[in-house]
Amino acid sequence: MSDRDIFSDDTGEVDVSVVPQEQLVQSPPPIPPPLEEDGITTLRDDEVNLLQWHQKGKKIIAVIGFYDSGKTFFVNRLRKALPDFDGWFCKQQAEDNPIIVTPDGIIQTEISKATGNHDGYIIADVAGESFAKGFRKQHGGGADKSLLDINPRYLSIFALADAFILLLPAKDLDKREIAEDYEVERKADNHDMIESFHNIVGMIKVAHDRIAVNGETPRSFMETGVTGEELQKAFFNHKVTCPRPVSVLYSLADVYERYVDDSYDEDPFLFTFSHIPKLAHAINHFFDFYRFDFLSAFYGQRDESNVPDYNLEHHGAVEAFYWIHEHLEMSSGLFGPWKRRFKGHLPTRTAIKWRRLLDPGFRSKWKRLKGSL
Amino acid sequence: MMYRKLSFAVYICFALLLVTSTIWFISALRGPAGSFDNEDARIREALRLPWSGFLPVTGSEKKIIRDLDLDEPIFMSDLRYWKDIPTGGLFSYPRSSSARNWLEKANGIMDQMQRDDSLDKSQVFDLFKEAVSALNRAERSAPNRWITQYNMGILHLWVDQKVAARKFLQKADKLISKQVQLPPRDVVDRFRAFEAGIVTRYALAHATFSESGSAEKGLIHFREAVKRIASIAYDETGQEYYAGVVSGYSFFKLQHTGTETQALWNDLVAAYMNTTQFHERCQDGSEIKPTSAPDCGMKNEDPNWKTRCHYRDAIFCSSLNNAEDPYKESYKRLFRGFYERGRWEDEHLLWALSNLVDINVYNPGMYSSPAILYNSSLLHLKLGDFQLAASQISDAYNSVDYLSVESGHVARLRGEYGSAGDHINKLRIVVNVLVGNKLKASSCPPSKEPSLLRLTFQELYPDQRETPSFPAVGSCFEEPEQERQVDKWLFIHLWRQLLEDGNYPAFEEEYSLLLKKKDVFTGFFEQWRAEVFSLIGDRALAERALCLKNGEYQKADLIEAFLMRSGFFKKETFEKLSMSPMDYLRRWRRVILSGLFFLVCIKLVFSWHARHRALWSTFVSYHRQSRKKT
Repeated sequence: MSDRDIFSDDTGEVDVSVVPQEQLVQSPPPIPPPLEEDGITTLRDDEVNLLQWHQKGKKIIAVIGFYDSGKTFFVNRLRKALPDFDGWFCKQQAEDNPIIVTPDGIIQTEISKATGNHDGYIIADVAGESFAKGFRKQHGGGADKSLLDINPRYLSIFALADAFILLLPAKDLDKREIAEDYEVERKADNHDMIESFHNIVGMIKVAHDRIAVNGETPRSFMETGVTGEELQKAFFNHKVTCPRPVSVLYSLADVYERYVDDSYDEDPFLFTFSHIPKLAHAINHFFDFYRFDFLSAFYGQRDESNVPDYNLEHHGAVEAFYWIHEHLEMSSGLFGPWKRRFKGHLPTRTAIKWRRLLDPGFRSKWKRLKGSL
Repeated sequence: MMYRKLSFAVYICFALLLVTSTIWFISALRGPAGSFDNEDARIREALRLPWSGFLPVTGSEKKIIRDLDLDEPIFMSDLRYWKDIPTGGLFSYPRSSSARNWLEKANGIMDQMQRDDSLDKSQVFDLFKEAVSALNRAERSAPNRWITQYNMGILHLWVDQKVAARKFLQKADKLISKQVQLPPRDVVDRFRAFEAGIVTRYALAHATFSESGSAEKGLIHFREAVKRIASIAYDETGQEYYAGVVSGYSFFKLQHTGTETQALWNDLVAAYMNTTQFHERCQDGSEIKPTSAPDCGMKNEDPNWKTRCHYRDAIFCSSLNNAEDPYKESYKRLFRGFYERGRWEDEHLLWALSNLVDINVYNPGMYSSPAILYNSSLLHLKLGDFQLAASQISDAYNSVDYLSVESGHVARLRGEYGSAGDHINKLRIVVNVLVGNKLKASSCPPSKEPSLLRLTFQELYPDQRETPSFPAVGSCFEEPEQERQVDKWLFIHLWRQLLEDGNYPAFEEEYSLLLKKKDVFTGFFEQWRAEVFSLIGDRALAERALCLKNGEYQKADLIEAFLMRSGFFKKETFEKLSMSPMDYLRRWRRVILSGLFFLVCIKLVFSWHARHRALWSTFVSYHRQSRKKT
């Protein structure tokens, strides 16, 4: 388990010229190791804080991805771009370094309900390396009754997050590229990444099953942890579905464009089902609401520089946030379900049925892909 | 791209569908039967207009009629003295007896009083005193004799001294009650007793009826007198004596006094008409309320019908079975109203009409009796049957006996000469005005100044100045107010024609012309209009019910729309619309269907939009969307 703070920026890719140095480059406070007593892990303050935010009604959006998949870019892009959309404002917290998203005008009292009609969001940027390491031990299959070595902070994300944004580097998913430009290391990374997402979906299922279905408290879930056997069982349990929305973003899509012509016109949905069937299978059978899209990172970048310019137009980040925001807004309230339908947020399986009905091209492709699912 | 075009086309189709369904729904919400604009031709067809002779007289018109002081039935008061002084048998006086001499002298004076038209009041009084003196002497010579008592009663009735008359006549009634129980010497004697009983009761009725608080007693005397006629008519021994008399209802002249039986019947009818509070009673004196219509077929089979409590039902049933034109319809209507609609207050009218029905059977037309025709006309005026009233009063006016009624000796002796003629003439004028018959301008002397209503009518309709529907009633009526009241029918005749033709817009136009006249009090006309449209509404409701029965639902809907949205009718009429659950369903079917269609359209649009958005937002990447926008 890495001792890096999972809530901190996990790379040094943030453009310090745009965001003040003192805000962005902060050395996170050292996290004391969890205290274990008779198999029960005692929560630390920041985990308790996350619980408290959750209890106060603040929605948590977990940004999860493999290392170097563009999570920090996504968050920073969001921080830059959101103020231009309906007065949303992003603030970087000093201590835990999450990004607080609140409506305009309540910057100073972002969690106060009296002055605004929205409690804001906690966008939790989770370090990708930790996922890879955390689940690597499970690679190879086989149920393990021992507790997985997963930090309670990860567990808190699975337990408390209201929505997920999964990031995958698009360029690493193209089979042709892998076939033509074969590298052992890349393939291994790619495999780890896919496995990690496989396990992440399994963890979300376990958390949802235990908390939402069986009524276990998030704190208990975080304290007792998860076993490998539980993870395996949950993954194959198709009876439990989860209403939390998931947006899968293929990051670095403009890099990918260099290898595949006109990539943005490719259907991201079919792309997923044809290239990453395991992930597609896991998401399709578990989540009621999910979406795939491309996220460009260097589109329009000047001088072919490797440093991202967050002020340039990058499609996908804000839209992904809004797609989730609408879901979360309309998941409650008297007219919420009606608004959700009117906005087109049908359960994705229903949308697939309608698309098969209305789109002959999709129907034939779906038929072809179905065998692989 | 194809999908975008297709979805756009689908949106357009759905939008058109939505607009159509919305328009349909809103138009349906306006009313259960669609709009009611420019539907005159259709509504005329649905209501089968025109309704000639439909509009009956309204309550406000009847009120005017009451205010015109017309409702005084005429009593013929054919009170005649007993002429026959027999020398043997019943009522016999020995020849050359003092009593007989005095009686003959009194008869001579009374004969003069009965015949001489030239007597003034003082002369009448002198003769009265002289006759009373003679009769007193006869009484002293032969006390407690019926003829003396009866003639004394008649003499006092002639000069309207009813208290004294009642005293003599009550004594006469007691005497005749005893005397008829004695065995008669011969047929003449027998019929003499019958006749004495009849005229005594008749005279006693007159002496009693007009006394306050004893009208009902007087009515019972009238009824008893009439009943006793039957004893003459149906006595087999009297076939030669009263040849040609086949029934107690037949009109004939009583031989010993010369009294006409039609006078008895007429006065009984008049008494019933005047006794508005009369109700038949059982033996114990309790009034009998009608509960349900009697089974008239049981009249001859059920012994209970012969009891006192069933007397009324037996008489009314008999009249119902015997009723002939022109009374058949009006009697049936009144009979049903009395028994089936609880119109208990009309019992006196039903008795009067029942008697008219009965005597009409044996004296068709009754043209020889203007008083009966007058009373019958007045009765039908009250019942709202104006055509029959007009016909009968015209017959009364033209009757050959008109003058003889005018010169009735009792009325003359009492100084009421000509009053019957006045009543007949007034009623003739009013009834003819009511039914819209043209009257000759010479019917009444012209009034000094036309009423304000007549002047307004002439101003509004100058073309009818010379030929109005009826001339001013003028001095036929004592009060100018009465002339003004009658002149209201100038407008009513005009409007009634428009309404019967179903020309409601024209009526509204004409009606508003009068309402604009500020100097005319329009309260009566407003009430009249409300009553008339209530009647029209009832008729329209009946037509609607017929249409529903025949399955003509479109016509029924149109009539319903006419009732509810033409603006002519009030809430009372709407409330009469019979609405079963199926009626409600049928009535609101357009709203329900269009509402369902509207909801389906909404659902289609909504679900299409949701699916379209779902497909678009789930499967099309933001890169692609942003490029399509540009």
